[in-house]
Amino acid sequence: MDKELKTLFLDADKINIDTSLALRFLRVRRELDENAKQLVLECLSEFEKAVFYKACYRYFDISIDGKKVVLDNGVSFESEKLAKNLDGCKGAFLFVATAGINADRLIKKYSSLMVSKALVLDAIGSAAVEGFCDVMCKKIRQEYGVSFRPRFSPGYGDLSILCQSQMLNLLDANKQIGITLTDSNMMIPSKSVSAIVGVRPKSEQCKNATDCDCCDEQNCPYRD
Amino acid sequence: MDIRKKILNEIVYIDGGLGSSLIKMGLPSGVIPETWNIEKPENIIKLHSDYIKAGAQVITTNTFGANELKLENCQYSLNELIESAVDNAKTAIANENKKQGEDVYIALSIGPCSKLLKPLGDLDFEDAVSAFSKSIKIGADAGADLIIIETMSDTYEAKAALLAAKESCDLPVFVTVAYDVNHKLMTGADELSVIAMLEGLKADAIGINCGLGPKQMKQIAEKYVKYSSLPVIVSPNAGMPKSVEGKTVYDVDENEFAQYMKEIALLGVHGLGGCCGTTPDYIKATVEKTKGLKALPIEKKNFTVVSSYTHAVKFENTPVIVGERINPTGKPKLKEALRNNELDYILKEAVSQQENGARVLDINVGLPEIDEVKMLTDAVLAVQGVSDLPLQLDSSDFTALEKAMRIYNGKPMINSVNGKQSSMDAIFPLVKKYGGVVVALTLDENGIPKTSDERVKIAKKIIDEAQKYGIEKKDIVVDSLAMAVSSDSKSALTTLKTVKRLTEELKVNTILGVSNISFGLPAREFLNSAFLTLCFENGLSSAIMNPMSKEMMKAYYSFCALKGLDSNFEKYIAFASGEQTLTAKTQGEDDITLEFAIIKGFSQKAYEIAFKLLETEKPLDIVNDKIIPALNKVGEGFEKNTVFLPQLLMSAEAAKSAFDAVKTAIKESDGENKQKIVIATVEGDIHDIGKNIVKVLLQNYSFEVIDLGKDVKPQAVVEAVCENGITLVCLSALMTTTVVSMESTIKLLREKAPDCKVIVGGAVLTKEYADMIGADYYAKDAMECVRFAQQHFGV
Repeated sequence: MDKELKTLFLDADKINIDTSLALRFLRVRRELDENAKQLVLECLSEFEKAVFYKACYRYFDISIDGKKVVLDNGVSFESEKLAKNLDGCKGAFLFVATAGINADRLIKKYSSLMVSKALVLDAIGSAAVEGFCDVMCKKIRQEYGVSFRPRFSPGYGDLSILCQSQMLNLLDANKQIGITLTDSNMMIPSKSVSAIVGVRPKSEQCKNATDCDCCDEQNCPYRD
Repeated sequence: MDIRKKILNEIVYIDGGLGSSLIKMGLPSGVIPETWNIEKPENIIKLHSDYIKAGAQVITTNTFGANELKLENCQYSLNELIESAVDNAKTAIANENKKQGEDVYIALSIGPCSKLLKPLGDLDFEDAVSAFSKSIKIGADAGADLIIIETMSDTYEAKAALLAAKESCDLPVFVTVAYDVNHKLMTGADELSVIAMLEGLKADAIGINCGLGPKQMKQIAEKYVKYSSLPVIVSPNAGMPKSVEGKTVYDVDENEFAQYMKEIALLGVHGLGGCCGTTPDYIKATVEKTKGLKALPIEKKNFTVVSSYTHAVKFENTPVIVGERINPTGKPKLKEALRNNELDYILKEAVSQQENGARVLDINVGLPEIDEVKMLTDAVLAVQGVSDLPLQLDSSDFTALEKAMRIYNGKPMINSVNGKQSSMDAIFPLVKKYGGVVVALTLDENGIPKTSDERVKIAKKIIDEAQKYGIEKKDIVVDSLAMAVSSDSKSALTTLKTVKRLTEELKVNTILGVSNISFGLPAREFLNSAFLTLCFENGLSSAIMNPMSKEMMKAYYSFCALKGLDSNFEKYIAFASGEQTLTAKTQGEDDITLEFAIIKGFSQKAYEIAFKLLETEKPLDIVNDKIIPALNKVGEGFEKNTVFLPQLLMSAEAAKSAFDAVKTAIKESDGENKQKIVIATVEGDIHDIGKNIVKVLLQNYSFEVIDLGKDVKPQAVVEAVCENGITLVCLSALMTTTVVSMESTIKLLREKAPDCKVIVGGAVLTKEYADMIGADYYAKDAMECVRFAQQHFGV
């Protein structure tokens, strides 16, 4: 497997933002009235004008040592849950994906001016970067001809947020796509996701070699 | 020869990729490259030697990441890493039998610190300056010949590093920045804005490196040569990276690279180097390909330009509108906001002026009873958080001006200097150091002259004095002062004549606060807008005015349309049609009630209806019978899960604008007995949406909220509590890592203000967690926080 660091840049129009996901983040459980819907649309349009998606990713061979996941360059992450998630995998991708600093600017602007808009933009930003992760993962799967376990991020379960800086360093994420960390290990741009995602061992991979979009097996466990 | 002189007149070759070459030499990933300065000096020396052999005249030290903010966990000290790096470079020069400072120059490489500065990040500007200063001092003391600040992807960080270099040594400083595929820096700046800022801060050469290959850089290089009066450096990557058989290769080989570099040199670029993926072979090929090429002379550019962190505003034929609204003179509401430290008011003014056509914003926050130094810097930082327009820093307090110029992200306008010697002695050194375009008022020790002759004379004097500081005429914009025509019927004519002479004879840009002209007369906007047109016709380059004034904007757009400054009348048509729909909208009377407007979250409507209701109803009745019941209904809906947070907030905002309307009719006395609550996002946490949501709702329920902002130190919370006799504090934290600071804030509060109660909230908190850290209440959402507050104060 190709172990080089790669980058991916996408224009805003390449990602379909799932507004229903954004609304779930906002805990909206019923249909909104017209004025609120209008607000969501307005935010969506402003957001799409501002953002530019960037990501970098890199493949590592891995081994599991008890609660530790060890990368082929010797770097290890200690987390029982991650070790379980990657159990049986021979390799994994590390990636970080971001909607960029303009998303932060937009949210910050409205955070002082019109907090309803900031709130909706924040949720749209989260949904957008999720959508970008999906698109990117699909692209990686196709590029490498593999399928993935669910992705796992620093801060999930027992994978400490403190390993964030190590992950970003392995991906040269500061120089490549401008990711920085605050002293409290928060990523800025804030609409960013870093994760490790296991490559399913051959035995687990889907038998139908077709693209999931063209496949009828709706309940397939390997479906994207 | 001084490298400054050399690069001004000759083509100078700079070395190529260092980090990427070290990886090729076997630097394992995860190992700090600078540690090789000590552990494998032979590799570093060899690489430098190879570059010297290839023809590089400037070699950059292996110190790109040697910054205290980046190297927290390194086993070597900053001194050890940087000193050994410079020593290795010296050894290489000696080994090649070259003379340092003549044949080959050692450039101390300063890369980004990998943290983002405030307001988007959490690194304080001055902390960044001091971190860069440390590395630069060590490198300068160790014997570097120049400083090269490289791969900067944020203007603000580039400014911090350049200031640090200028303040901590006398060495020449080169600055190169990294553009992405959209020709923008990571934080959004285009070419001209970067050039304007770096020139203002007196870099010795500027340019571009990393991020792109030579082909993609050519277009950017073209702009640099077009706009810059300084020598330009171009150090591309070896093309764009791609993967071949599991290895990263760059898609441009040394010959193709050299060909592009020749084309780049022919544009007028003086510094030729390489970045990631380039090797001594690339530099060698470049040197050979460009042999005998004479450096094109560098032309001084004569345009006036100010910039923000994204773009620049160039003073050209189209007059520049400078928004005047952020100035407390004659604005009681702004005065009150300043006294109460309510920056939100200023931010709203900033955004609405931008939306209405301002291209620069004047920021004046001078009031006798406030700390202007702090207020001006706070206001500048806050406005730069919501608006990307260049700012005009406006103060008569020199300390406030200097502080603001220092922390401003871009090349500012400065308002103002005048013909008094004392004024010039104070202002020009600041402009010299920080850069900027300065407004020069045509008055002096004897006051404002009556005649245009004398005003032009003062302008000349100011321009001459500026020259002594190396400040060029292009960085001065003369304000020939508009005086009330009611007290001197010739005053408008004098001003117009002066504007014309300044433009034609002195060939200097001009600016005017036009509205003074109508002082003392009725319907001032009529006179102001006519005067504005006259001024423009006489050559006025920019006007300090109110972009919210329809009369003034009509004059502006019409002038531009008539003078052929508005291609296809695009701006005029957009303005005119915007005008019409606005009128149509306000005329179409919907018969909705105030309650309905609030419940549905129509802010503008809520304001209008409430304002109209004042004609027939008492203000307090509107509040108690209409606004509060509507709010309660929405609040209850939220608690029952039939109304959701976005709707709750829209209603809260609509209620707030209804309150604003009603407030215009209530005497300012009810503020005194409002219950006060302190609110803050704790130290280390820079999320403030949650906190702002709670703030809006608390204000709706007529609590007075003292908002301390985000990333607030425990001590600051305690101080605010003690100073204001506060009994209730709301703290917000979003991350598990910052709940710790919440705990220490509570601890300190218990110690210093034992009677004060604390409500906590935020995404990661739970009731159990809140109990554990000793909070009094845990609010799961904003409404619950309001309920706790009501309970606490017994309302």
